[in-house]
Amino acid sequence: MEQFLYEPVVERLQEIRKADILIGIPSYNNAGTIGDVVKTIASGLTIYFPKARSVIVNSDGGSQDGTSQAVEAALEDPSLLLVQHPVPPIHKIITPYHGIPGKGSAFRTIFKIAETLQVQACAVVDSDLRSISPEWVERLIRPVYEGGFDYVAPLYHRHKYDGTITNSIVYPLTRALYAQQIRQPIGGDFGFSGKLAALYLTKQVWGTDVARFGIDIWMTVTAAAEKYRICQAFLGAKVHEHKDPGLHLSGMLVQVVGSLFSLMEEYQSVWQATQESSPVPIFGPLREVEVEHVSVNVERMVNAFKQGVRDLLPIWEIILAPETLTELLLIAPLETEEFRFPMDVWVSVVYDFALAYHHRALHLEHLLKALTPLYLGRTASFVLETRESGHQQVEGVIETMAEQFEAMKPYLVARWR
Amino acid sequence: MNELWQEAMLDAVQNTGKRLTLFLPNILAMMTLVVIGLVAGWIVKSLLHRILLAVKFDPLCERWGLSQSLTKAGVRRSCSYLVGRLSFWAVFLVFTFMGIDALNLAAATRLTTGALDFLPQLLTALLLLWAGWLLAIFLAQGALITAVNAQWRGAHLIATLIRWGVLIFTAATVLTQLGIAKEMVVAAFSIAFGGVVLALALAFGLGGRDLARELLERRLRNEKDQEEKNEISHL
Repeated sequence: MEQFLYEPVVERLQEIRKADILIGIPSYNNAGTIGDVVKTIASGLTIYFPKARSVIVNSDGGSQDGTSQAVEAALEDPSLLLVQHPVPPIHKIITPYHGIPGKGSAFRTIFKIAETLQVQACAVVDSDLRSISPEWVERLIRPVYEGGFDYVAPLYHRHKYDGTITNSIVYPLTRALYAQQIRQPIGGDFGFSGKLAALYLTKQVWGTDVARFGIDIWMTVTAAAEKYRICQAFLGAKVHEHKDPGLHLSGMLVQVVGSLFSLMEEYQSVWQATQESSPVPIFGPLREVEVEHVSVNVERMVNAFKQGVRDLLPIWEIILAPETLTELLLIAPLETEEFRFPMDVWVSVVYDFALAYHHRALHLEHLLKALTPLYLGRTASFVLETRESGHQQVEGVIETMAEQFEAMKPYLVARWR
Repeated sequence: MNELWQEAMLDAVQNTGKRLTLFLPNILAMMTLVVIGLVAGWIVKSLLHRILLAVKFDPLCERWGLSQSLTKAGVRRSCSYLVGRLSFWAVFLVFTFMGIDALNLAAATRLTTGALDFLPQLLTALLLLWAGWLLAIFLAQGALITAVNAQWRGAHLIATLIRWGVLIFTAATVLTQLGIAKEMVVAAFSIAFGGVVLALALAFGLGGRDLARELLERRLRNEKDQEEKNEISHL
């Protein structure tokens, strides 16, 4: 057994020996929400998989707010005994993880435990969820446990301005590259097979941004590029704690987009050979759900873009094609209400950044950070374009952009040497 | 008198002849060494250039930002070409010094000994200059992008100050390494650095009072406002 599992955990695993289902919860200072998440998962397991031997793993990043105690307390709650017939006990493992602080390192510990217990199906869910229901456990586990799928990506209804990195970069780019229409590739709550967990462990990525926010996109792309069977699970609305909105945007972009670009290097033969994308099956009936309102400060985003044009032009000149740069200079003087960042220009920007990353045109972290003002410009434009639009219309805009990414893929392939 | 004159002339010619006979091989040795230096330098240059091309040294320099910094400095040649050129001159100079040494002249020997003693210092200084130049560009670029992403108005000024700060520090280190006016460099650096800090303090304290107040107010008060106005969850 590798070093990164602590001795008490190894002993606990030897006691449990084998399990069928594992649910992992990465956490860091989530004492306020994790108790409910754990209770809901335990309920889901007893309701939907009463005969399975199940394990709940809390992989914690060194919380100081009593997160571990909240997990302990949740599983000792007598209100959990809501099933009438005897069921196998749900084992719990609470462990700190080794490695770079971040969600990815927490997942690595979960993968290792899954491999050790030879589980058939796993799921991971965020610890700050407020909208999780027992149904989530069924939707994420059953396609793997009984349906023969290897990877279950989540599908939520989100506010039109929620998940803007997903909508403007991650979803369309993943779809254009790997030809699978996975709407929430970095949703954070996934189901996967024990076989896939074992594959994840074999990859040497735990010293990179994959150990941080890059883990979600890495899991999805690896499953897609390695041709595992993928489906989506409709989970309703995703409501979670809002922490520091926009504060760590640059770091998030570096980790997510950097992981995506780095996977393009690894799987270049795969994505260069893919053609048109196809839909991914959805598990669970789609229904309308209420979503939380999101306020957006458009002016601040437009100003960030304008400052980028003013100060970062010499850096963008190294990264962007001259015609893309000319377009950016044309839109920069527009007033906030008239500000529009055309879709095709945005696609060129993303592809130019991917190419610059591939050709190592600049120090990689500088390169990825230089994308932030452009992303904010495109996000501001998206908000202005869809101010009066409903959910379906906004989804239509995102679909059109994804199609644009696919249509312009030859541009990327042609310049990739 | 005539005989005495003839004898003196003969002695002079004989002495010069003897000296020339002794010195001529030295000149020939020097010329041979210079020619060998030219040929060896050319061979080393060509070999090194080819090896660097084979190991893709130029894309590596682009990745490190060295090519861009050279272009900005007006040098439009590739890094592999420059390294080749430098190696040629290094080899040629070594052979030339050997040639000068072969002349067996006291002054020439002193010159070559001094030059050869100075060479390691010169190489160290050049390396320091190169590393400082790279560091200045890297740090300034990183600071500029970070400041722009944080939407600081003086992003460009911050980056420029960092670049020049590192360059001035590098120049002072290089001059100290070369042993050129050590005391003067230290004094000049201290004065310049102190001056910059004082200028910044004055500029911020007098000229930027409003900006300082605005920054502090935004930091202490507007963080809450920002949360209310911008609730985007990017992931």
